[in-house]
Amino acid sequence: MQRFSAFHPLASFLYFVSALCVTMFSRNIVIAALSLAGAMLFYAVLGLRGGIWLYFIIFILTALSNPLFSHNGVTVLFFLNGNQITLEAVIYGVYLGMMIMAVLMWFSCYNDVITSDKFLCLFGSVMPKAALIISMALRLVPSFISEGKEMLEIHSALLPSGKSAIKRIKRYAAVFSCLITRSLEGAAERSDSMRARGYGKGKRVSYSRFRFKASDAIMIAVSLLWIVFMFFFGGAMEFNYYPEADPLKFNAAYIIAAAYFILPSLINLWGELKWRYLASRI
Amino acid sequence: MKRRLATLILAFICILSFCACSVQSVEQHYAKDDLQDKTDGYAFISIDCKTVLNNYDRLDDSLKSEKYVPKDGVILKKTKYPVNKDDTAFSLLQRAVRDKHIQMEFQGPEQNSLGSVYVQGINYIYEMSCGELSGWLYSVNDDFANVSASEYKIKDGDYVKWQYTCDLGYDLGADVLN
Repeated sequence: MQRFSAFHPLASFLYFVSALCVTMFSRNIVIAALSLAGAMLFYAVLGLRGGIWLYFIIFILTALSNPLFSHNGVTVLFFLNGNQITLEAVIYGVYLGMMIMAVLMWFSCYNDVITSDKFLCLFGSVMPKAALIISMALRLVPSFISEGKEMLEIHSALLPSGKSAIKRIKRYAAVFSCLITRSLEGAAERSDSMRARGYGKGKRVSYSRFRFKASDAIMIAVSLLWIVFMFFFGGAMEFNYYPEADPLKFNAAYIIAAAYFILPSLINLWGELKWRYLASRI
Repeated sequence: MKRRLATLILAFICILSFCACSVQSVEQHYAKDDLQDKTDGYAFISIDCKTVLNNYDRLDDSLKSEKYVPKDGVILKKTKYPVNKDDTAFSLLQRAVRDKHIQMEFQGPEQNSLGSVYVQGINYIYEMSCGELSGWLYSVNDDFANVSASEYKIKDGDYVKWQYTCDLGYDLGADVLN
């Protein structure tokens, strides 16, 4: 397997589902940190850039706001307006921030890996109408933004106007009305085209170019095993934050968790290395 | 220009919020002693969580220690404190926990819709720490009042009991629903 995104949709989808579930439900600070590290690595390996600052701000806000609102905890750092600010609340805030940031970053990676054709391949046969509507709705906003940008560029190239606020508003209004007209027209055209192709007549199938390979079966087995493992042994990794945070103890499951969370990055990096090596021999 | 203005406003808000905060170290907080004010009498207060001992299996695992739940369930035995005219059951509790260095967390009147104080936890034992029907209740001279502790004025000689319930007050003999 060269790339994580080359797996069968079912395999990559299951991987994301299990990674997200474990991140959200484990309540263990080490698992959250490992998940965040894995998500960040995969995020970098996929070449995604945008949004990292927003995620970091969310992390900071969560980590700071928890000690302001929760005053439970044995280790009092100082008193703020007569309320104790405790180390335990800070730790829990950091855990919450890491968990939320990890989930957001896994979702960004999910968006990059599970494209709309993969989504349709996964759910097209189970719930054809819902899957089609979801994939069309998800596409709406990004396509709106990119079309709007294009129109703005064309508009400013054809009719250069000043920087005054009123002129800018006029330009945006013109582009916006254009955008609305175009999207309405597009909807009408799309429905025409769908009818012409016989949408709604009989069972719907969607084209899928994905084959189920042995590596996909292994990936699915790993994901399922991981979920089952966490389901049965997750209790041993339970972590109490209040009133006294548990000491960090080494647990063999952490190594498995780390391996699991960096698996997609490793697969991608291995593919990259192999590609470089092969390219160098041409 | 706009960006600079935004930064200025942000900085201003930050400074304002810092000014509104009073930061005290742990020693400063507990050193503060308002017991020597001129008093209008004396009142008694006690804090206990005896009901937890009967429902120990329902208690949160992290609290199952003598550090948090004393063997006899008594967190503060009957203690005498000076009170003023405008002291309430809550301000007496605040005075006692500050004097004895007992942890306490409450929701201020500005934080809930009732406009009165709600005590969430004392000595790390919080509401719902011992089953879904558990929490802190107070009684004055063994009478469970129907108002918030911050609304109940204390007179000379009153005995305020703060008790932990595991069954909406029924295990303390309080008929909270009437």
